[in-house]
Amino acid sequence: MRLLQRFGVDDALIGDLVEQRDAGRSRAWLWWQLSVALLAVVARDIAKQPLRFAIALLLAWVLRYVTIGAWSAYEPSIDMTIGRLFLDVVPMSRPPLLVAVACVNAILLAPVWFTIGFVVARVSRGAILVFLALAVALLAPGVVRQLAHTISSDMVRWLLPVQLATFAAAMGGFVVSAATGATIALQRRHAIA
Amino acid sequence: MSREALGNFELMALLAILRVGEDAYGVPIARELEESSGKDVLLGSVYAALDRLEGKGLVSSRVGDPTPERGGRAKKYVKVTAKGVREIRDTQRTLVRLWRGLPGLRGEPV
Repeated sequence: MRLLQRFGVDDALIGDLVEQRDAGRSRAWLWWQLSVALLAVVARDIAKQPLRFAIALLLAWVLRYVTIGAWSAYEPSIDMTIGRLFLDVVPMSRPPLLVAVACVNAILLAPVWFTIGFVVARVSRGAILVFLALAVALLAPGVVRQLAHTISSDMVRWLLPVQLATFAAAMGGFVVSAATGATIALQRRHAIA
Repeated sequence: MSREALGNFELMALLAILRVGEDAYGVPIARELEESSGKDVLLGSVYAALDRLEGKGLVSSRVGDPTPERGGRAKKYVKVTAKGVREIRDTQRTLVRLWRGLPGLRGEPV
Protein backbone atom coordinates (compact mmCIF):
# COMPACT_ATOMS: atom_id res chain seq x y z
CA MET A 1 0.00 0.00 0.00
CA ARG A 2 2.86 2.35 0.84
CA LEU A 3 4.44 1.54 -2.53
CA LEU A 4 1.18 2.47 -4.26
CA GLN A 5 1.14 5.76 -2.42
CA ARG A 6 4.70 6.50 -3.51
CA PHE A 7 3.81 5.75 -7.09
CA GLY A 8 1.06 8.35 -6.88
CA VAL A 9 -2.08 6.24 -6.47
CA ASP A 10 -4.89 8.35 -4.99
CA ASP A 11 -4.94 8.04 -1.19
CA ALA A 12 -8.73 7.72 -1.18
CA LEU A 13 -8.50 4.82 -3.65
CA ILE A 14 -5.99 3.06 -1.39
CA GLY A 15 -8.42 3.62 1.51
CA ASP A 16 -11.23 2.09 -0.56
CA LEU A 17 -9.07 -0.95 -1.29
CA VAL A 18 -8.22 -1.35 2.42
CA GLU A 19 -11.95 -1.09 3.24
CA GLN A 20 -12.82 -3.72 0.64
CA ARG A 21 -10.04 -6.05 1.79
CA ASP A 22 -11.41 -5.91 5.33
CA ALA A 23 -14.93 -6.43 3.98
CA GLY A 24 -13.79 -9.85 2.76
CA ARG A 25 -12.80 -9.33 -0.86
CA SER A 26 -10.44 -12.04 -2.14
CA ARG A 27 -6.71 -11.63 -2.43
CA ALA A 28 -6.93 -12.11 -6.21
CA TRP A 29 -9.51 -9.32 -6.44
CA LEU A 30 -7.26 -7.03 -4.42
CA TRP A 31 -4.15 -7.76 -6.51
CA TRP A 32 -6.10 -7.19 -9.72
CA GLN A 33 -7.41 -3.85 -8.44
CA LEU A 34 -3.92 -2.83 -7.21
CA SER A 35 -2.27 -3.69 -10.53
CA VAL A 36 -4.82 -1.75 -12.54
CA ALA A 37 -4.60 1.24 -10.17
CA LEU A 38 -0.83 1.26 -10.63
CA LEU A 39 -1.08 0.91 -14.40
CA ALA A 40 -3.61 3.75 -14.52
CA VAL A 41 -1.18 6.03 -12.65
CA VAL A 42 1.67 5.07 -14.97
CA ALA A 43 -0.51 5.75 -18.03
CA ARG A 44 -1.60 9.12 -16.60
CA ASP A 45 2.03 10.07 -15.88
CA ILE A 46 3.10 9.14 -19.38
CA ALA A 47 0.21 11.05 -20.94
CA LYS A 48 1.00 14.13 -18.83
CA GLN A 49 4.75 14.20 -19.51
CA PRO A 50 5.56 12.04 -22.54
CA LEU A 51 8.93 13.70 -23.18
CA ARG A 52 10.14 13.13 -19.62
CA PHE A 53 8.97 9.53 -19.87
CA ALA A 54 10.85 9.00 -23.14
CA ILE A 55 14.03 10.62 -21.76
CA ALA A 56 13.87 8.52 -18.57
CA LEU A 57 13.32 5.30 -20.49
CA LEU A 58 16.17 6.10 -22.87
CA LEU A 59 18.42 7.00 -19.93
CA ALA A 60 17.55 3.71 -18.19
CA TRP A 61 18.30 1.75 -21.33
CA VAL A 62 21.64 3.50 -21.98
CA LEU A 63 22.74 3.01 -18.35
CA ARG A 64 21.73 -0.65 -18.46
CA TYR A 65 23.48 -1.17 -21.80
CA VAL A 66 26.72 0.47 -20.57
CA THR A 67 26.60 -1.49 -17.30
CA ILE A 68 26.05 -4.83 -18.99
CA GLY A 69 28.73 -4.03 -21.58
CA ALA A 70 31.32 -3.17 -18.94
CA TRP A 71 30.30 -6.08 -16.73
CA SER A 72 30.45 -8.61 -19.58
CA ALA A 73 34.01 -7.51 -20.45
CA TYR A 74 35.27 -8.34 -16.96
CA GLU A 75 32.78 -10.99 -15.85
CA PRO A 76 34.90 -14.11 -16.58
CA SER A 77 37.85 -12.82 -14.55
CA ILE A 78 35.54 -11.54 -11.77
CA ASP A 79 33.80 -14.93 -11.61
CA MET A 80 37.14 -16.74 -11.50
CA THR A 81 38.35 -14.55 -8.66
CA ILE A 82 35.13 -14.96 -6.68
CA GLY A 83 35.18 -18.71 -7.27
CA ARG A 84 38.80 -19.00 -6.09
CA LEU A 85 38.05 -16.94 -2.98
CA PHE A 86 35.08 -19.18 -2.16
CA LEU A 87 37.11 -22.35 -2.63
CA ASP A 88 39.89 -20.97 -0.42
CA VAL A 89 37.37 -20.48 2.39
CA VAL A 90 34.95 -23.39 1.91
CA PRO A 91 35.69 -26.33 -0.34
CA MET A 92 32.52 -27.00 -2.35
CA SER A 93 31.37 -28.82 -5.46
CA ARG A 94 30.61 -27.08 -8.75
CA PRO A 95 26.79 -26.57 -8.47
CA PRO A 96 26.77 -24.66 -5.15
CA LEU A 97 29.84 -22.74 -6.29
CA LEU A 98 27.99 -21.55 -9.43
CA VAL A 99 25.02 -20.42 -7.33
CA ALA A 100 27.29 -18.67 -4.83
CA VAL A 101 29.11 -16.83 -7.63
CA ALA A 102 25.74 -15.77 -9.15
CA CYS A 103 24.61 -14.43 -5.76
CA VAL A 104 27.85 -12.44 -5.35
CA ASN A 105 27.41 -11.07 -8.89
CA ALA A 106 23.89 -9.94 -7.98
CA ILE A 107 25.22 -8.24 -4.86
CA LEU A 108 28.04 -6.53 -6.80
CA LEU A 109 25.59 -5.26 -9.41
CA ALA A 110 22.93 -4.22 -6.89
CA PRO A 111 24.30 -0.68 -6.35
CA VAL A 112 24.27 -0.07 -10.11
CA TRP A 113 20.65 -1.26 -10.54
CA PHE A 114 19.72 0.71 -7.42
CA THR A 115 21.24 3.88 -8.90
CA ILE A 116 19.46 3.35 -12.22
CA GLY A 117 16.16 2.87 -10.40
CA PHE A 118 16.76 5.97 -8.29
CA VAL A 119 17.80 8.23 -11.19
CA VAL A 120 15.10 7.07 -13.59
CA ALA A 121 12.30 7.34 -11.00
CA ARG A 122 13.41 10.91 -10.27
CA VAL A 123 12.92 11.78 -13.93
CA SER A 124 9.67 9.87 -14.55
CA ARG A 125 7.67 7.75 -12.13
CA GLY A 126 6.06 5.69 -14.88
CA ALA A 127 9.31 5.02 -16.75
CA ILE A 128 10.82 2.85 -14.03
CA LEU A 129 7.91 0.39 -14.08
CA VAL A 130 7.93 0.26 -17.88
CA PHE A 131 11.73 -0.19 -17.86
CA LEU A 132 11.57 -3.08 -15.36
CA ALA A 133 8.72 -4.76 -17.24
CA LEU A 134 10.51 -4.37 -20.60
CA ALA A 135 13.87 -5.58 -19.28
CA VAL A 136 12.31 -8.68 -17.71
CA ALA A 137 10.16 -9.31 -20.80
CA LEU A 138 13.23 -9.12 -23.06
CA LEU A 139 15.25 -11.45 -20.84
CA ALA A 140 12.45 -13.95 -20.32
CA PRO A 141 12.53 -15.70 -23.74
CA GLY A 142 16.27 -16.42 -23.42
CA VAL A 143 15.81 -17.76 -19.91
CA VAL A 144 12.89 -19.95 -20.97
CA ARG A 145 14.90 -21.25 -23.97
CA GLN A 146 17.86 -22.18 -21.77
CA LEU A 147 15.65 -23.85 -19.19
CA ALA A 148 13.79 -25.76 -21.91
CA HIS A 149 17.11 -26.92 -23.34
CA THR A 150 18.29 -28.07 -19.90
CA ILE A 151 15.04 -29.94 -19.23
CA SER A 152 15.09 -31.69 -22.60
CA SER A 153 18.69 -32.87 -22.37
CA ASP A 154 19.50 -35.96 -20.28
CA MET A 155 23.14 -34.84 -20.07
CA VAL A 156 22.55 -31.54 -18.32
CA ARG A 157 19.14 -31.97 -16.65
CA TRP A 158 20.87 -32.14 -13.28
CA LEU A 159 21.83 -28.47 -13.84
CA LEU A 160 18.20 -27.30 -13.70
CA PRO A 161 18.09 -26.30 -9.99
CA VAL A 162 21.44 -24.53 -10.39
CA GLN A 163 20.19 -22.65 -13.44
CA LEU A 164 16.95 -21.70 -11.70
CA ALA A 165 18.89 -20.40 -8.69
CA THR A 166 21.34 -18.37 -10.81
CA PHE A 167 18.54 -16.84 -12.91
CA ALA A 168 16.59 -16.03 -9.76
CA ALA A 169 19.68 -14.35 -8.27
CA ALA A 170 20.37 -12.30 -11.40
CA MET A 171 16.79 -11.26 -12.24
CA GLY A 172 15.67 -10.95 -8.63
CA GLY A 173 18.74 -8.84 -7.81
CA PHE A 174 18.03 -6.58 -10.77
CA VAL A 175 14.31 -6.08 -10.07
CA VAL A 176 14.60 -5.74 -6.29
CA SER A 177 17.59 -3.35 -6.43
CA ALA A 178 16.11 -1.11 -9.13
CA ALA A 179 12.66 -1.08 -7.46
CA THR A 180 14.25 -0.21 -4.10
CA GLY A 181 16.16 2.67 -5.70
CA ALA A 182 12.95 3.90 -7.33
CA THR A 183 10.96 3.61 -4.11
CA ILE A 184 13.53 5.63 -2.18
CA ALA A 185 13.65 8.25 -4.95
CA LEU A 186 9.85 8.55 -4.90
CA GLN A 187 9.82 8.75 -1.11
CA ARG A 188 12.22 11.68 -1.31
CA ARG A 189 10.13 13.31 -4.04
CA HIS A 190 7.03 12.80 -1.88
CA ALA A 191 8.80 14.31 1.14
CA ILE A 192 9.99 17.32 -0.89
CA ALA A 193 6.48 17.81 -2.34
CA MET B 1 -23.89 19.71 -25.89
CA SER B 2 -20.32 20.65 -24.95
CA ARG B 3 -17.43 20.19 -27.34
CA GLU B 4 -15.98 17.36 -25.25
CA ALA B 5 -18.63 14.65 -25.25
CA LEU B 6 -19.13 12.43 -22.23
CA GLY B 7 -17.72 8.95 -22.47
CA ASN B 8 -20.00 6.01 -21.82
CA PHE B 9 -18.33 5.13 -18.52
CA GLU B 10 -18.25 8.77 -17.46
CA LEU B 11 -21.98 9.09 -18.05
CA MET B 12 -22.58 5.90 -16.09
CA ALA B 13 -20.41 7.22 -13.25
CA LEU B 14 -22.36 10.50 -13.16
CA LEU B 15 -25.67 8.63 -12.97
CA ALA B 16 -24.27 6.30 -10.29
CA ILE B 17 -23.19 9.32 -8.21
CA LEU B 18 -26.72 10.74 -8.45
CA ARG B 19 -28.23 7.40 -7.46
CA VAL B 20 -25.91 6.97 -4.44
CA GLY B 21 -26.59 10.51 -3.24
CA GLU B 22 -24.80 12.28 -0.41
CA ASP B 23 -22.47 9.41 0.50
CA ALA B 24 -21.05 8.93 -2.96
CA TYR B 25 -17.43 7.81 -2.88
CA GLY B 26 -15.43 5.15 -4.73
CA VAL B 27 -16.86 1.96 -3.19
CA PRO B 28 -20.63 2.69 -3.39
CA ILE B 29 -20.23 4.21 -6.86
CA ALA B 30 -18.42 1.06 -8.06
CA ARG B 31 -21.09 -1.12 -6.38
CA GLU B 32 -23.88 0.83 -8.05
CA LEU B 33 -22.17 0.43 -11.43
CA GLU B 34 -21.64 -3.30 -10.82
CA GLU B 35 -25.27 -3.84 -9.85
CA SER B 36 -26.57 -1.86 -12.82
CA SER B 37 -24.28 -3.37 -15.45
CA GLY B 38 -23.84 -6.84 -13.98
CA LYS B 39 -20.12 -6.55 -14.66
CA ASP B 40 -17.08 -6.19 -12.40
CA VAL B 41 -15.94 -2.61 -12.08
CA LEU B 42 -12.39 -1.58 -11.26
CA LEU B 43 -12.03 1.01 -8.55
CA GLY B 44 -9.05 2.42 -10.47
CA SER B 45 -11.32 3.03 -13.47
CA VAL B 46 -13.90 4.75 -11.28
CA TYR B 47 -11.24 7.08 -9.85
CA ALA B 48 -9.80 7.78 -13.30
CA ALA B 49 -13.31 8.67 -14.54
CA LEU B 50 -13.94 10.86 -11.47
CA ASP B 51 -10.64 12.66 -12.12
CA ARG B 52 -11.66 13.38 -15.69
CA LEU B 53 -15.14 14.49 -14.65
CA GLU B 54 -13.68 16.78 -12.01
CA GLY B 55 -11.31 18.20 -14.62
CA LYS B 56 -14.31 18.99 -16.83
CA GLY B 57 -16.10 20.60 -13.88
CA LEU B 58 -18.92 18.04 -13.93
CA VAL B 59 -18.31 16.79 -10.39
CA SER B 60 -16.86 18.37 -7.28
CA SER B 61 -15.15 16.52 -4.46
CA ARG B 62 -14.48 16.93 -0.77
CA VAL B 63 -12.25 14.87 1.48
CA GLY B 64 -13.83 13.30 4.57
CA ASP B 65 -12.15 12.46 7.85
CA PRO B 66 -9.53 9.70 7.96
CA THR B 67 -10.89 6.52 9.57
CA PRO B 68 -9.00 3.60 11.14
CA GLU B 69 -10.93 0.96 9.13
CA ARG B 70 -9.48 2.53 5.99
CA GLY B 71 -5.93 2.44 7.33
CA GLY B 72 -6.17 6.07 8.40
CA ARG B 73 -7.17 7.24 4.94
CA ALA B 74 -10.01 9.61 4.17
CA LYS B 75 -12.90 9.05 1.79
CA LYS B 76 -13.21 11.30 -1.22
CA TYR B 77 -16.87 12.24 -1.54
CA VAL B 78 -18.10 13.45 -4.89
CA LYS B 79 -21.24 15.17 -6.09
CA VAL B 80 -22.49 16.17 -9.49
CA THR B 81 -22.28 19.91 -10.17
CA ALA B 82 -24.99 21.97 -11.88
CA LYS B 83 -22.88 21.82 -15.04
CA GLY B 84 -22.77 18.03 -14.64
CA VAL B 85 -26.55 17.80 -14.38
CA ARG B 86 -26.89 19.95 -17.54
CA GLU B 87 -24.42 17.70 -19.33
CA ILE B 88 -26.39 14.58 -18.33
CA ARG B 89 -29.63 16.13 -19.64
CA ASP B 90 -27.95 17.20 -22.89
CA THR B 91 -26.52 13.73 -23.39
CA GLN B 92 -29.87 12.12 -22.62
CA ARG B 93 -31.62 14.40 -25.16
CA THR B 94 -29.01 13.59 -27.80
CA LEU B 95 -29.28 9.87 -27.18
CA VAL B 96 -33.08 9.92 -27.24
CA ARG B 97 -33.01 11.85 -30.54
CA LEU B 98 -30.61 9.32 -32.01
CA TRP B 99 -32.77 6.46 -30.75
CA ARG B 100 -35.90 7.77 -32.45
CA GLY B 101 -36.74 6.14 -35.72
CA LEU B 102 -34.93 2.97 -34.81
CA PRO B 103 -37.84 0.64 -34.04
CA GLY B 104 -35.50 -2.35 -34.17
CA LEU B 105 -33.86 -0.95 -31.05
CA ARG B 106 -37.24 -0.09 -29.50
CA GLY B 107 -36.43 3.55 -29.92
CA GLU B 108 -39.94 4.53 -30.77
CA PRO B 109 -43.35 2.88 -30.76
CA VAL B 110 -44.30 2.30 -34.39
